[in-house]
Amino acid sequence: MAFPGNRDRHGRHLTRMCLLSLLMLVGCSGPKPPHPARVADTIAAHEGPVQGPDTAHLTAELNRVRAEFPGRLQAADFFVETRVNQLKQAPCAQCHAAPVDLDKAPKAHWDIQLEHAGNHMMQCSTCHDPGDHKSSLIFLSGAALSMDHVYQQCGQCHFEQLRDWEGGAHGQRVAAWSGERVVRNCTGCHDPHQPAFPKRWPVHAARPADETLPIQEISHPEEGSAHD
Amino acid sequence: MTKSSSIKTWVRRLLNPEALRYLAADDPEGDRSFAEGAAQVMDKQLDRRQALKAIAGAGAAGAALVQAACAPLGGRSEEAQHRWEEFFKKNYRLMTETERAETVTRLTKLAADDRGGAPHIQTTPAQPGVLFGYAFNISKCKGYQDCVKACIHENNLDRGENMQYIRIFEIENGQQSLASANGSYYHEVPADGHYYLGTQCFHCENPPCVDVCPVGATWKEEDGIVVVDYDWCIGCRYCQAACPYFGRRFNWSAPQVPPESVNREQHYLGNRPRKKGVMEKCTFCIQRTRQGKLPACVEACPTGARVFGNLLDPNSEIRYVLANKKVFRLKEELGTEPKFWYFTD
Ligand code: SF4
Ligand code: SF4
Repeated sequence: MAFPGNRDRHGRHLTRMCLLSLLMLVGCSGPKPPHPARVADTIAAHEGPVQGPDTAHLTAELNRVRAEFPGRLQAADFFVETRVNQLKQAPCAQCHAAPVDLDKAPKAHWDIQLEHAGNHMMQCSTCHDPGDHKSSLIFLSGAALSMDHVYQQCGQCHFEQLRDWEGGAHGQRVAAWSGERVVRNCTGCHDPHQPAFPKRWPVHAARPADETLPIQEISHPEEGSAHD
Repeated sequence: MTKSSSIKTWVRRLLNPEALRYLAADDPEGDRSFAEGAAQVMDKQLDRRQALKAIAGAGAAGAALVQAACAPLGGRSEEAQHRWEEFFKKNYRLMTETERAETVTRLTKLAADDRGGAPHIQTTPAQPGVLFGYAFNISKCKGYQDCVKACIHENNLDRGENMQYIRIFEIENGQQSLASANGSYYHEVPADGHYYLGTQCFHCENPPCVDVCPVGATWKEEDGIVVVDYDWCIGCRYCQAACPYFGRRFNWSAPQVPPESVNREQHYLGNRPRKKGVMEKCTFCIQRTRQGKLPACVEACPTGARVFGNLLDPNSEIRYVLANKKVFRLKEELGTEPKFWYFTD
């Protein structure tokens, strides 16, 4: 069966098979890398000093002061929102000429309810100095402190929060993610007299779960009543 | 008349019913703009009746007349022209700078007509050395939903369907599964014995939603933000099915935003108005964050549960969280590598 074209056809067949298997091989590895990129690797490969967007105009108007950590040699590299210029009744010397007995219920400050770690531990005089009206706050040691640096006072007990606040895991940055770092003071979010966040209604009524995600299959009977 | 020009004519007619309406309507205003349009294109005075005669007599004239309705004339025909050009524009990624500027001009004009005020539509590109990341503190979230409200306003979300990008789940203490979570609670919060966990698009480093899009209408930008070209999306919803996190939202109806509360500071890939039948989702507030601002949800959170920043900056807050806190991500085993971490105090 020696048709002249036969050999040739075999040859072509072979070439095609080769091509096909090659394609299949290539197809398996695909156009994408076999292992998905990890964010950690991307970060490691590209991290470095960054020139982010210019945000000077966003932070220019903010009342801020450079954070200070007593006992440290190096100045902090971030700023904290000031407090004194936001207060109407500070310093105390505006009204009180003489020392005040802070452990009696203060009449002028009737609206202040102290709910901060219990009265056996925290009293007005734990943070405020009744004798020296130059400043409104004192450390546990009795040393004076500006309200602009109230984080130092809170940090006496809440040292873990202070550490996270300095690093950025606690608290809130203001205005911009890049450029000069300005953060809220402790008292920017917490009422120092009642530092826990209050119970209140949500500001938005959530949309019922979409049918595309089987997320609400199980409903709790006790929650059901809370909805109505 | 050549074959190609007659096809063009038909396409134009189909795409521009306004032009056909000019022929049908019997108002003098329509007459004038029609005649003017024809005059400009054909360089010859023409009134409506003449025009109708012409269209009956000669196909070529008909082509020109229809084109006239698309010519830049002001009023309805200018709008028609813009809509025509909008319809045939490219995918955002393929546009040159000039084309981007042109579409922004058109969109600005069209939006000004529709919504009673001109938006400012940015095309700010990703900055080098920036990879956005997000962290959510589940110890801090109290379920107040201030973030959800801020997001709705910032991103011009559909008020008609009550669309929201962010969802806050109320989860019983001791539970971790979202299957037992309540995503539509409405009572005083924080509820005793519960904690709160927020989700939104996680801007995955390996986004499955991007892989499945048949037309390349969604992609990951250089700074890690996963975006949608609303004018290129065909609304097939493959991406929604592919997202393991329910990150995407579909416009089943034309989105409704009261004109007075439209946020006019917009980005082409962000909060500019969407239309019926297209996909949308969280963009990490691309219109804000590419200007250095914080996303609206981060700014609105009253408890500081939300941390945002540049993952490539070793001194950023987000990097502090990743280095010093115990973090986790949802469905990590899928390999999607979300750039959205959860942590506790
Ligand atoms: S969370 Fe969903 S929509 Fe967002 S990038 Fe990941 S897969 Fe895509
Ligand atoms: S809905 Fe739009 S973005 Fe999503 S896959 Fe389909 S075309 Fe792509």
